[in-house]
Order: sequence, then structure tokens, then C-alpha cells
Amino acid sequence: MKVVVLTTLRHERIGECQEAVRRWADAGDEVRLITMHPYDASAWPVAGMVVLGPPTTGARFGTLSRALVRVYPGSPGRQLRRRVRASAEARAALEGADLVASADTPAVLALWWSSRRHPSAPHIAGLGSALQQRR
Amino acid sequence: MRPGRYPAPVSRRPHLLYVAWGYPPCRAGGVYRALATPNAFAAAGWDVTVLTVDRETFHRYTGADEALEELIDPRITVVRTPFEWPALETDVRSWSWLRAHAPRVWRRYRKQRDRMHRFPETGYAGWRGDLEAAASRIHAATPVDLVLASANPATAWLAAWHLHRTAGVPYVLDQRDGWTLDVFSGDRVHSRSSRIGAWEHRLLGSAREVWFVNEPIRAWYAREYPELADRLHVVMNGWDAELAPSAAPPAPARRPLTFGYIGTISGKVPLGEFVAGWDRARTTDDVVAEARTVLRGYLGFYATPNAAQRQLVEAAEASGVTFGGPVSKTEIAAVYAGFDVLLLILGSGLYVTSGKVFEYLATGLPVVSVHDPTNAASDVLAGYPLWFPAASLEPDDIAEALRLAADAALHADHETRTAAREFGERYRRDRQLDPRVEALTASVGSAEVRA
Repeated sequence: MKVVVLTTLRHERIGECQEAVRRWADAGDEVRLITMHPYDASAWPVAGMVVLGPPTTGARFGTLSRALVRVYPGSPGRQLRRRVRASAEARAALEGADLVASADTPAVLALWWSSRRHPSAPHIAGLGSALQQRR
Repeated sequence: MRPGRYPAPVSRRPHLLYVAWGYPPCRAGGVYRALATPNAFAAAGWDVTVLTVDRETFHRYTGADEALEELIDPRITVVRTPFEWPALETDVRSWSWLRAHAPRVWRRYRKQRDRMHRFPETGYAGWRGDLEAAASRIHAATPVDLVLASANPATAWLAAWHLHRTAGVPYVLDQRDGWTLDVFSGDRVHSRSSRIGAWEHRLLGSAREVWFVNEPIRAWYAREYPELADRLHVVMNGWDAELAPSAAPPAPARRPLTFGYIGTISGKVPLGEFVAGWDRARTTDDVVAEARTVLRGYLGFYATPNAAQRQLVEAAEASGVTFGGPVSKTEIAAVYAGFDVLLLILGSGLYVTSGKVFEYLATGLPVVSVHDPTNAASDVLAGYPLWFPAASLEPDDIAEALRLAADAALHADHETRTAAREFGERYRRDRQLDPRVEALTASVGSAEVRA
């Protein structure tokens, strides 16, 4: 089974996602990760990793800048969705997937967008539920 | 009840409509009571119809144990209605644009929609329409003589209320824990003037009987509604003869011992405290040091394991505590057979009993209580010869209880073990249900059944 995981998670919160990917890989699934932050692919049992670049947060320039970023380019979730739409590699990964899962709440926007393009594959919010679906 | 609208006594076999959301194949803890109650009425000669939700609900949301369906009395007719639980739907293909893009607005909208069903129970109130329609159909096809509606959720009671209002059918509410009482804190969580308080008062006021799982909860309701006190009854959970583990042979266990826990591992279960006590006991007692603990059950109340609970059990592995996952009720006897000492790890609360305490008693094994000493489970266990309650949730007290239980598992004499088995016999579920089934049979007045 081909599984695609969408995430905006940063390094410090990625542990649970990594564990879920490991479980899928142990079960013989082919997992691809679509992420905003770069991870060392050798530490992940994945068939492919699409890195879309960290989100713009405006944090370096204070509160006003952060507020403006929420308007454009938008929340991390909106930025992920936009980059997935713009990335041929990410679109190709989603097209061939048998199961698509989001690892965090912001990634649900991209997941929902994908679900409208590929309604035949389950699109599951949350890794726990997605693992359950696999079972 | 409007007088004269309901013809009683009946001269045919009485017809019970039993309403419960959590009915097999649901795997939630309360399902065994829902399974046993209509079975008891069927065995007493009633025609029984069970009204519940479709199987898919349990497969998708709570987890299902299909083996339980085989234990439904074949004389019972089961009617299932559709049930939507959008808040737990994780496949976003079925999500609206609003839910994906503005989840807070969507949640507010759902809450508002639930209010439109004129019943204050978020998530379940939407069941009301299907429930009432199904109850009416059942009553039209075969007149219902009594409705027994079981929480949780309280929305199930609306089938009883509906038939009572429209056809004058008497009803019994199985409250189990109570709707307006927080069994953990003992506080009233909804005032009498709130919508929930008003509904509870209305529903209790017209009920023929109201059942609770333990005396502290019944007493609380009797204090709150003194005018209804004579209609409030305790129907304890008990253990099911067809599902219970066989009692352990009255013989000493062998080292290394296995301590076992079976039950839902929710956020209320003081697992962290137990592990601290277990670690302490392992450093001070040779028998416990070489023993192991096996935890079996679901992590949280839903099909998807609770992440926090999963982390907790994984962290406990370093202390010789292993997690074996859920166990089907039909396999439970074999699992108990592998245990030498049972761990009763419960959330705190004067009003908390838990169903598993009865199953534990059926085994005749030593039981270590890891919960607040004032917990209602203590009333059930008081007098059990192999009961070892921790004086508090402090590591030293838990360690001491574990040490004493381990010693009893190895050295308790034959008389003590036999007494433990006899004590457990008192809490068979049929012994809890029979008095109420008999009383209701008499009150409905079927000559055929009483003969």
C-alpha cells in the first residue's frame, strides 16, 4: 500500500509522526512524506520525501509582522496547501497514494484539497486514525 | 402518565422495549450491562425488542467486539437505527468546506444544530428523530408494555419519554452513573434550573423505576429528589456467568508471579502512580522484583488509541510492565488464567465502582486496589479475604499492597482461597438483576409470565 503523510511539524514535534511512518514501513507499506521542514531521509524508512520549505511566520519582525503573515501568505496550513498545489512532485505523490494522512491540524487544509482531487483514496486526519484505517 | 390510556394488566407475554446506544458489537465498558439486561428479561419470559444504533457506528468510532453479538439471546429482536457522529469522523472526504477551513465555526454550528433537537446532549441529540420514529414503529407493530432505557447517552431515554407521552407506556431509566452528578468529584455538574437539570427532573418524575450502579449514587439522587426515593434502586453490575473467568483453583501460585490489569486505560486511571509504586516494590521485595505486570485493554474510549496513554504505557515498559492490547470478552477467561494477582487501578471518586471489580471477584485471586480508599469499589471489596488495598496512591503504600498480595498469592491457605471464591459468587450479575426483573414482571401483571 502506498501511504502519503502531510505535515507542517517542526523537528521537536515530529517524533510521533516518525513512529507512525515506522509502523507503516514495518507492515510493508511504501511511505512518502510531504513536509515543510527538511528531515534526514536516511533516518526515516520512507520511499520518498518532498520538502516544500519552512513556512513564513514573520516571527523575526514582531507581533505586527506575524499578524500580517496570517493574511498573506497565510497560516502554515494555507502555505502548505499552496505549495503542494504548486509542486509537481507532491501532486504526483498524492496521485498514486492508496492512503493519505495528515500528521497535524494545519496540514488538514492540504489534505482536504487532495481529497477533492482523489476521492477514491481515504484521506485521514490524524496519524492514530490513519494507522487504524490501515489495520 | 395520562390515566386510562394504557390497558394494564396485560394478558399476553409482556413486551419490553430495551433502548441502549452501546449494545453489541460495541466494545465499551458498559456494554455488558446492556447485553445482560434484555437477556434477563427474555429468560424471564418477556418478548424483548432492543433498540440501538447500527453496527457501523461501533466499527468506525468506538471499536467493536463482534463475538459479543453471539451472546444476545436468540429470542430478542434487535432494531438498529442510523447514527451520525460527525465530530469523530476523521476521513476528510466527508468533511464540508466549512469544517476543513473554519473548524471552530463548524463546531459552533454543530452545537447549535444539536440544540435544535430540543435535547441538551451535544453529539447524541441528533439521534432523537430516528429513535422516536423507531420506537413508535415498534409499538405500532407489537404494543410495548414497558420501556427500559439505558444511559449513556441520555438521549436513549427519549424513546421511553416519547412512548410514555404518546401512548402512556410506563418506563424504567437505567441511569447507571447519573447525569447531573460528576462521579469523580461528587459535585452536581448541572444545576436543577439548567436545561439538563430540568430534563432530568422531568424524566425521573414520570419513571416507574430508576436504576443506579451503586448505593452512593442512589443515595445522592435520593437526597436530591426525596419525593422519588422509593423508586430509586441499585442494580449493581455483577459478573456475567457466561463471560466470566473461571475461578482460580484454590492452590498457591508459582514464581515468577504475573500481576494483571484488564480494563480501559483512560486518563482517569492512575497508571503513573501505579508504576511508581511498582518500581518501589521491585527494589524492596524479591518476589515482586522477579514478577511482571501485564496490562490489557483499550487505550482511551475510542477506536483510535489515546496518544497520551500510549506514551505512558510505553514508558512503563522499562519497569517490567507490558501492554498486551485489547482482549475480546470471549477470550477473557484465558487471559485471567495467566494472572496470579489482579490490579484494580481506578480513577478516584466516592461514586466510582467500575464493572471490572465484579469480574475480578469471580476469579478468587488476590486483588490489589490502586485507587482512592473512599472509592465505591471499596464497598464491594470490603470483606473479600484476598483484598489488598493501597492505603493511598503514594509509592510506598502501593508497594506495600503489592508485596502483601504477592505473599498471599504464594502462601494463602486453602480456607482463605475457598472463602474468596464463595465471596465472589454473591456478585453474579443475574443475582443483581433478578429482583428488579421479578418486581417489574409483577407490576406489569402478566399472568402467563408469573405462572
